[in-house]
Amino acid sequence: MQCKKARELLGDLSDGWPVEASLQEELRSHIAGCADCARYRAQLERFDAVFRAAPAVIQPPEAVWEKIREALSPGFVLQPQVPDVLGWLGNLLRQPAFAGMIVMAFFGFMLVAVVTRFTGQGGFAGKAATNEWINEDYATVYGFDTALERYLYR
Amino acid sequence: MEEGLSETIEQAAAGDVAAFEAIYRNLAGFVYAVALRTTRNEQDAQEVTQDVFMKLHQNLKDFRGESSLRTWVYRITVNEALNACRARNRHFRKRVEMDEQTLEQQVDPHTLEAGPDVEPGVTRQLDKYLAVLNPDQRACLILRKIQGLSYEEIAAALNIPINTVRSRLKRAREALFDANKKEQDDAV
Repeated sequence: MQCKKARELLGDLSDGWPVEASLQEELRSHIAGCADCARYRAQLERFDAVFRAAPAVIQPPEAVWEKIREALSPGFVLQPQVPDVLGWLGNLLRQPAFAGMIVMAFFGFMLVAVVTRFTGQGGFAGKAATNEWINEDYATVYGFDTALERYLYR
Repeated sequence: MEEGLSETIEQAAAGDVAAFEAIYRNLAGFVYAVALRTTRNEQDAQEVTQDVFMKLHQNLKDFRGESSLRTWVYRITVNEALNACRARNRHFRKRVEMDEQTLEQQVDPHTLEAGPDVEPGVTRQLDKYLAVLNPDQRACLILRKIQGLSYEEIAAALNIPINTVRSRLKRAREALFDANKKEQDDAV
């Protein structure tokens, strides 16, 4: 018997695959005269000893059953686990009415800003442009800080 | 458990949580053991166990107890555990370009718990052996060598032909010998 065949049969025997009695006898004679295959069998037995020593049953932590029981309770709806990074603000933003208001306010602000920019009247840009206390000429003569001070304490 | 199993299943299917807990207490040990050995990660094993029992609960009404409940549960457990392995490997692949073997060896950041009365040396050795196998080989080896399932039962649980079970076991054995040889060469 060749070593390759002998090791294949040793593996089959180790895994519990049926091997004919005549082949087993042939294998025994081969191993008796082959030190390499005898070492192979010894290593195979060492592998098997470790697997045999491993427990087939390991009890999971009690928390696993607690989660299952919770999921089985009436009215429980399984929610995907999403990290709540925004906290209460996140909850508020998830309200459709509030989110709608935010969007409308944003577009309203943008509309006002664009209109006042082109007309030069009303809004913040218009007020700044028509404010005599902080106009460009005054700031040029007296300096911006003085112009701002005068505007604030007028 | 097998005695009165149908009755317990019927009670659990009717919404009796105590009956379902009895089923859980009976099966959770081997479900968790298979999941833990296959995924090599405690958190994944706990999630797999939870998913297996949620699926079992959903299918209780269809389950008549004619076929072996254990085989059914083994199948779901191995499927869920292999999915968890694949998901974890995909996650690692996105992060780094590494070969399959290295990925497998890095899956478990923890030392696996062995259960009561098991020498820590055995646990370390077992973990080392399982680390060199791919998830499919690992599942076959666990079911055969640790759970003691027959070839037919493994084939049914994994939904593969018996010869595939045999070839996966053979490849697992070869991988173990290769790793052992490499370790010896490195030690010299």
